[in-house]
Amino acid sequence: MSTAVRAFPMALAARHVAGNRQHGVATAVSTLCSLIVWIMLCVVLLAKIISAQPSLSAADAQAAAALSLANLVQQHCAECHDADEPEAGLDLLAAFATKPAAERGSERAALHGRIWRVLHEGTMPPKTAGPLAATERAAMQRALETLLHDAELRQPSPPRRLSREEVRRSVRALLGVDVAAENLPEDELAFGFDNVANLRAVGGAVAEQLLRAAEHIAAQVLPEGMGRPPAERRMEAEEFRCNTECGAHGSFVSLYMNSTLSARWKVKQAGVFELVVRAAGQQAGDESARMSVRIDGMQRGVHSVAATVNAPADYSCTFELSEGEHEISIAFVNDYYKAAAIGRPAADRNLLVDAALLRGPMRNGPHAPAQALLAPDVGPTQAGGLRARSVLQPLLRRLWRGAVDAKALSGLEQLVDARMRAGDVFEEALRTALAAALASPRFWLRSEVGSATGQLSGVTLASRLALLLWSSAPDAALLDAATRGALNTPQGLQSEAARMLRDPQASALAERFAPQWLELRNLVASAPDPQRFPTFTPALRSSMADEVVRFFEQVRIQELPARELLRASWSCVDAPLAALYGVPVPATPFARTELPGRGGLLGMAAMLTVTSNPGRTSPVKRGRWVLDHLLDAPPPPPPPNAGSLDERPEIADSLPLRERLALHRRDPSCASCHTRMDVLGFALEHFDGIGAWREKDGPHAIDSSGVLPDGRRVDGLAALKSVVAEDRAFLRGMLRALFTTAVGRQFGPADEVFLQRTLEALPADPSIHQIVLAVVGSSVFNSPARN
Amino acid sequence: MVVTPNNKALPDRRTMLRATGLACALPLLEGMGMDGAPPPARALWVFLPNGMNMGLWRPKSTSLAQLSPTLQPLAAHRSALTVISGLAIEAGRAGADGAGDHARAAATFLSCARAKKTDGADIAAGLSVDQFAAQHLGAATPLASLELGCEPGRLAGGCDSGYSCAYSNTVSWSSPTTPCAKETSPRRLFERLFGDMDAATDVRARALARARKRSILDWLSDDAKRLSGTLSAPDRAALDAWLTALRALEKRLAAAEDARAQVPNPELLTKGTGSHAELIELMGLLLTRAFEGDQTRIATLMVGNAGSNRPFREVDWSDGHHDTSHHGKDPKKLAAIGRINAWHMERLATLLDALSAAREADGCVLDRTIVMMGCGISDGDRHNHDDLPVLLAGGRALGVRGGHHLELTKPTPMANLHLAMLRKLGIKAQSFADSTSALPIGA
Repeated sequence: MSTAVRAFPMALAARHVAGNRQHGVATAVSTLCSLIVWIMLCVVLLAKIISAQPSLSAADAQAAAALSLANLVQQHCAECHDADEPEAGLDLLAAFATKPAAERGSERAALHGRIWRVLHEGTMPPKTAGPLAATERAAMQRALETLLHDAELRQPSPPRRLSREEVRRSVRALLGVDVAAENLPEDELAFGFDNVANLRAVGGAVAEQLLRAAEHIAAQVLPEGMGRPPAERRMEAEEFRCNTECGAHGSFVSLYMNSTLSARWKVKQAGVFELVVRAAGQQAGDESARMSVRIDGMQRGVHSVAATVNAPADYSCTFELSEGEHEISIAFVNDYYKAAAIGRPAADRNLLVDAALLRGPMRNGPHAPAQALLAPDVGPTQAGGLRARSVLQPLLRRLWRGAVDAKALSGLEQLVDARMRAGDVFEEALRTALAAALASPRFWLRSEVGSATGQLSGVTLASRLALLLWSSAPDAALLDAATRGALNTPQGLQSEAARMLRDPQASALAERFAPQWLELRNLVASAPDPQRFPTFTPALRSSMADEVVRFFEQVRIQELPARELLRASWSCVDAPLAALYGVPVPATPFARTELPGRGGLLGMAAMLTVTSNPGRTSPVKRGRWVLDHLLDAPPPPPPPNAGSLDERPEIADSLPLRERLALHRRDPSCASCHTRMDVLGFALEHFDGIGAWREKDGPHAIDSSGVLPDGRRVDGLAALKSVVAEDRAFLRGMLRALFTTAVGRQFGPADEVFLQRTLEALPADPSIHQIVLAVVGSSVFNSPARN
Repeated sequence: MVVTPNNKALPDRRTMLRATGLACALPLLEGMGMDGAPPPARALWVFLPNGMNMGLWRPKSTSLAQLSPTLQPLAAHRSALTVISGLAIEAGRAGADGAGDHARAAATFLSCARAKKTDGADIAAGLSVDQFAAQHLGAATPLASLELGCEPGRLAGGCDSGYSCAYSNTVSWSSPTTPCAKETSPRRLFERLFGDMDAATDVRARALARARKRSILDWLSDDAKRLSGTLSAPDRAALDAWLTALRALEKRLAAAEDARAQVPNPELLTKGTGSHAELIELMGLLLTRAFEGDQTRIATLMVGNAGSNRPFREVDWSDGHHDTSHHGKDPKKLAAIGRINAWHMERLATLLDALSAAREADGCVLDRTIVMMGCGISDGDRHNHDDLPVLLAGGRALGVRGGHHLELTKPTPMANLHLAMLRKLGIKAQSFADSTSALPIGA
């Protein structure tokens, strides 16, 4: 043991007393000396504690715990974790002896959390080192728990913006329109979730996209032209071109043979148009003059023109026109002429056309989103601003997720008044105000400041609840509960959350949380080699993604234990998946289907595909996925210059993958992770690169067996399922993911004790709802993200 | 408008560009600016992921008379090229940070600064050279800079070994802690440059749309003052960044209208994003228009995100680019990497065609635009951050020599090239990042 190691407690102690004193001085002191100083320090500290306060304050308890921990670390850990080739790159002496704790709070807390977890799991100290007595282990854990007290509350979350999907769901729920994801700024991922870190960059392009998306959404709710009569364009008959011969007849153009009048009209906005032709007939024979209206050569209406020249009439037909130029023709189709004979004048039937009027585009019936928005409209008896208030106030309460700022609202009223003075009709001015409200940070920024008392306000809790459970805006009932103060009592909060979990919008947990937690949204980027996997089609890909959602949703709404996600012998399949899995097609798509030899997340094609290379399976990626997402034990990244598999054809073709990986594991720097990772991954080797069952991998027989570092043997899916399902780390990982997306920061080592406490408070085999309710009821969920 | 794949408009466009491609070399009397001032100096930095097959990339001599196999597609632009060998980015090396060479490749490419290894909110790298340039030249144009990409970010999980996705998905940093979000949709880029595509085509309707947008902007900035007081400090900082962008937008509303008048047929530019090649070409065309109309002088283009694993069926290869770059010396994989690299050079050639076809003053836009293209790692299997594949194109009228292979005898900081480019842009910088001197890229 080096001098530096022996001097360690002294160095730490000196820091508490003397602040910036060089710890180099301490290194020169002997072990005995350091002990004396240490005891003296304890006395000083104790005196300080006693003089300051009658009882031990939290800060002083932590200082005492730090001292006790330092001593224990020095005795039991420092032999390996010192500056001289530190194990796992962790020099605990240096870590504890650098800057004072206050400056490195979060790093220090993370270190405490790491140490606590290895002690809790019993992985440290290793068997090869001296044993740690149970009392000492407990003492160390207690000290760490004191140091980590409320660490989960002391870590602030970064600013957050609503994710694309949160905007889309809010807009759909509140305004009844769909907005394409590509019209919204891209999300920035962090810790696997899209709603944690996407406020890193809000300048430049993102700000403009937010504004443009807002205008776009408002225009979908209140479309262009709404509130205005349809445009009309009149054309005199003389302005038409006659294809043969036509004559003048007063203000009419006379078609005295089967001729056609045509004109080209430009249409700026597609839609339904009405063409009204004012016409009359010079009648003869046994029927009236007949007029055919054609658009681009296609007949759109035929009129029997019974009116006479003294009383012409309007003949109307409607049709759809696309944007662009169109030819509109009016044709006379039943010319009749009988020359005069004795006792009888000539009989001549002609069509007389005065003018044509094109009106449109017309609204095709009432527009549902506008109707819903305008339901509370007090009507045109009020000035524009006041009308806008009647419409916006109930909307903004939900859109802005809380009480509506009076001045912000009156600003919008003024905007509406100003736009109407500038010539806009009410609907147009309201559309501009709606766009402003949607572009406002009051909508897209998640401001979660605490009140003066440091507590989260009811409406902020409501916002958190709605975004966690529904990925959407709160409803009126939730906001009413918040305003009543019901969310600030544990029972009120639980009952409101339980109500929300029964609401159909809670399917967001299956649709949004599950695929992000399990990292399966990347399925869209998976590209299996079409030569090797010709059955992989876009339809199959989308069925794979749906299976994850439907299966999770079944487990959720039936309140099965969350571990059913792993243990299930069934899943939800449709025809393409039934073909892939080799089972009969269920009567209804995605009905619960028993899957012999499969079932649950671990047998799911989505996971098996995402974790494969385009051309082959990757036991390493699969093993890593299990560690990352199911066992809450993400392996560290490979060391720099970690070798890759030898892919030269002479090796790759002659050696099974298992043997090539075994070669890789001979490297000790690779072995520590791969011994566990590869065994978990190889258990799934009977499933090929898109999740179909296979007996062989090319020419090689499949061996899906292996032995975990703790001696347990795993062979195939069934064994893997039970190994993973019996580990409560699965539940901890799910809690960690839920907290991450709920509060918007990583739940890392500093939160280990908190996560463990939350885990231990859960029932033995909790349902997804019970886990979600534990998150909602936690101190973290009820505290501000930042102050 | 819906952006539809497989539209026929693009080949026509291409034909048109080819037809006018040589016009650049001819002196054009009518192109001279009204006030006689020379057109501005511009720069574009292009990032390619996953390194190169260096054996197929490296020219055999200091002349470009014989182009290496990878560089063949650039033959028509040979005289405008400078291939540079021997550049290195010290900050890209692992050091104590361990794995994550791809994230570092992008984060250090233009900043040459060490990226803090974190997946959290405390990301930090360094001011990138394009943003340094934008801070000097940006005030003159409606947009200080453009940050473009041809590949959106991942949808789930992490990006690279404990580094935030921000490091892998952007090369532009406007401050050591502010990555710039990049634009990956041609439609959205079009709308930034030229205004709403959906808006009616007549001038009066667009003026009305602008007036409405102004009233939104007025309310937003007015309301932001009230809102600001209720926010925490980090939220307020985000709000300020957003407000700054809105004010810049307000100033640009009229400029966008002017720019629109110069687009002969906007619809043409918004079609044909069916294939990856078409998407890249389209981003290049829009960028060319932005340069031509002096909407901006500074841009970055990430053809792929760092560590991109998109399969390259275009070159008859179905494995992911990143997976393939770990070639383990497999000749088939090495050959595929070479084909992917050459395919990227074809895309670059198309971009250079467009910049050459855009005429101005006595030459073309390319003459006054320095295009730098490169990777942040060299060999994909080794992840080494030295001997980086880098080339320059264009900038002849700014004094870039071209037509040769600049072979540096010892590893030289990439920042030396950044510094040299800044100077060619007329920025009197003493140094940039870890530069030791300016690289001799001049005539």
